[in-house]
Amino acid sequence: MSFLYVTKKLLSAFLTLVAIVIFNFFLFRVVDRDPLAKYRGRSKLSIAQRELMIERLGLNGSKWQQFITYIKSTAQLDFGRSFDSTRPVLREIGDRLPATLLLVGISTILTILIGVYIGARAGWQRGSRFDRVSTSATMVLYATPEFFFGMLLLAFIAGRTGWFPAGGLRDVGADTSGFASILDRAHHLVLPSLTLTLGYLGSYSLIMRTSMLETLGEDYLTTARAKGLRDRDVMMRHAVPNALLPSVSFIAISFGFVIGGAITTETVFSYPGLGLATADAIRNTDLPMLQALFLVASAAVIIFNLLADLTYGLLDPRIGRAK
Amino acid sequence: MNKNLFKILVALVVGFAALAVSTSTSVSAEGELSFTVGVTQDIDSLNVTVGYLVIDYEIWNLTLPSVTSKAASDFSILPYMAESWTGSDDGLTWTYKLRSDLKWSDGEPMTADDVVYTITRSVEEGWWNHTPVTGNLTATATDAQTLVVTSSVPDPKLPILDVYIVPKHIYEKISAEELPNYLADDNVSGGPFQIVERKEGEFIRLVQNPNWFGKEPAIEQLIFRTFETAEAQYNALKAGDLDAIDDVPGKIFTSLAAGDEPNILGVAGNQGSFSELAMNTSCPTGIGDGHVALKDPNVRRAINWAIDRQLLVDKVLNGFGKPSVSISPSANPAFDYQIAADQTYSYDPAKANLLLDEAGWKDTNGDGVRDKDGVELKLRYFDRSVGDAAATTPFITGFLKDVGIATDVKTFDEDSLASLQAKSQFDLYTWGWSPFADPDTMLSYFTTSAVPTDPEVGGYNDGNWCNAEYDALYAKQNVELDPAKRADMIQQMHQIFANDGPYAVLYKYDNLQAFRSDRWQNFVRQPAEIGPIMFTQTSSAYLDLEPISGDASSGGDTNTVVIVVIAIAVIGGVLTLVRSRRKKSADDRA
Repeated sequence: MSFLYVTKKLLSAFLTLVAIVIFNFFLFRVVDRDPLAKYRGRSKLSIAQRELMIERLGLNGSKWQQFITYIKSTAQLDFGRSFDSTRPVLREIGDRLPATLLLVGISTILTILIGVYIGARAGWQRGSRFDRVSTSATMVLYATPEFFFGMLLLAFIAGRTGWFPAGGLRDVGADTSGFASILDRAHHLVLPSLTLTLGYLGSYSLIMRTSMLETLGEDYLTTARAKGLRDRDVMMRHAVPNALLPSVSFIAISFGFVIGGAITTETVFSYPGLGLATADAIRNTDLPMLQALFLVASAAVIIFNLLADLTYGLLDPRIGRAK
Repeated sequence: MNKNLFKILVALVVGFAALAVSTSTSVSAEGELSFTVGVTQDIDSLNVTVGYLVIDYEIWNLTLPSVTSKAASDFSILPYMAESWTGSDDGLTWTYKLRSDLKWSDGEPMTADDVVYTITRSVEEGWWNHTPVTGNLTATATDAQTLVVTSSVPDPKLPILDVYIVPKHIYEKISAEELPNYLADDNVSGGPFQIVERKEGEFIRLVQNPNWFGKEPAIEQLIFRTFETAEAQYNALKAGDLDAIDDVPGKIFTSLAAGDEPNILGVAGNQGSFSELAMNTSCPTGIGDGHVALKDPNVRRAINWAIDRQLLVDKVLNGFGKPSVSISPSANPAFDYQIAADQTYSYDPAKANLLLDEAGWKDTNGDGVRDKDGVELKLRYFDRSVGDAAATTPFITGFLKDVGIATDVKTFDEDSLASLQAKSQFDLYTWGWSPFADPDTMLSYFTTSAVPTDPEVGGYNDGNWCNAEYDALYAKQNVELDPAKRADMIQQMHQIFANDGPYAVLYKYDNLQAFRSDRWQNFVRQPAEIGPIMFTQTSSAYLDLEPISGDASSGGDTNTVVIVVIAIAVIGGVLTLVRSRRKKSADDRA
């Protein structure tokens, strides 16, 4: 991988991020939202109180001054205060991030493992019963919105059987510490992560199947067979690694979306992660929160895209040398 | 990826799931006697000078004391901090004798000084949850247990003194400028419970206050868990994760009422909560930009005649409520507008059309929308993104369209809508109220002095309505000590409000709540027989609830089940692994 290739990719990622930071400022100022709406018509704010709050929200001064303040504070990861809770946005996001990383991270890994397996096998055994059944099933999964799975699981598994909790992150108030606490979290994760896994599975499986089909006619597979390798080895050692290549960028981008959370799934299960924070911020028109969530989600996608590009360069030396 | 990997994965998932299943029972077996309530509303603020949501009041009722309390049955006065009280002959001065054993949860003494501090500061700084009661009061403490409260005018609310008393030793450290930002996270309590943990958007956990001086609750730990959807919350109740829920969807409640779930008790309680369509009447002393048509009482009356309230109750509330044409100023239905149904607004679009015609609003260009002097009768219609607005709006806009009134609907979050109301920049908007026990506060919202005159400050009079006759009656009832005379004045105010007022009140709705009746008993309603159990004026039901013996926290057998489930999962996982390894070895040998 050439130095020029890496530099170009880094620069491009940096510039995209800068563009998003700038766009972010103007995007959320288009919305006409009274930052002190929470206090109107209730506790009468004195002029001093009002000025203090406006200053804390970074909304004093002209638009240009606000922009400079915004750039400076964003560079220091200070995203201001939530209109709704009045707590610092970074703290709000920090509180919610681990829950989302856990949920979406586990679901993504499960989806990749299962999806790649199903897709690879279906592609390899094209036309077989496994291929027909799995392709139909994954098409259905792909076409169904994930919150629908969530609602089914909620009603039929949580509500009817009581095997898994209907929502939340933990068993509140129970005496949990150490391993019990981990198990408690795991218990609450089952249904939301199953929902997300079902929701994501279709796309991974279908992409892997298509890549696999593309590699089927390649000469190196014929050569491998000619060398007398077993069918399974031809698939695992020669076909799958090559078919995985196009999936790398898709997987990397998917990890980028991990940070963005799973808005509908977290909402259905009242799972307090970034997805639910986003839904709440939209409902409350909490612009500082939305601004920061948008930025964090975009930055995650950019960073993972960059990683995908760099990994691709490593995996396929032709790309790193090109241009 | 190979078959073995897949099997390992399956084994892990099965093991993980089995372990997870086992967790809930073992964990809950170790807990204290908890009562967990599911709510769909997150706390707005624990700061008593800022918060305004029903859930906020529930927490304050449980953690902040008041000088006197109210009976669950009929809101009559009960001792709280004060154990006795005497009034002066003119009824203006009341002397309260406080209990001598009062302490805040942090061990600091709770004295008459705390009360004096609360009353004085609330008046000085205009604390919005306090001034309806304290606005006309001054207080002094002659000693730690003797409180003297003087009203500047005869006050029919006294001797009931039910405002939240804040701990002076905490609040005196917070300046007036800082107070709106104060998160009230010191967790100092003077009520039966104290907050020990809170995760925003997730839960708030309270335990018994060790220094509580009243009736000892059976509940040791009280948890309010926030759910995003009422359906998720209901499923959690069915699964046994919750003991009670508020805000049960009407359709689910119908099946509960039919006895479909034998272990769940549904309670439809009414404490005066109502929803309305507010109209901007553009009071001359106010601000804003209300539509000119709404200044005419006949147009407002026409809107009242155009609405089919019974249909709304049937379709939006699934029958759990009743049509209403005036506000409910009190949780006590005795203060409601006592008028026969055939003598007030009913669904009569023909009458609405006639009134609009007479007011000069006619459809001159045949586009289906009335107009007058070149101005179309097209009204900005704002609703909020929570509550029943999404369900009522299509009906109401349809009713209005039927009589030639066009609407431009926009939906806002509650804070933004309240902000527009503070500026009186709307024509129509939907909102709802839950009144206090004394009617004075709700009645005060419609006086001219409550009309917003400064957008930065706002005002409660959300119809931007002023009526001198109403104001005069309000002032009279506010100082009338004879309950019968006062009730009569309030009926006259209803008549003015319904005939001329800024609201098309839609209905009174029931609070739909559900409880695990297989675990708990002694559900006390407030007010008696008709009211809800939770989210009431004093939230006293938590002190009355008793566990059904033998059910709570019995975890002995579940541990055995847990061990068996874990053992099966682990053995299953190991067997799967061993089998796949053997198969692999056999493949390799082949």
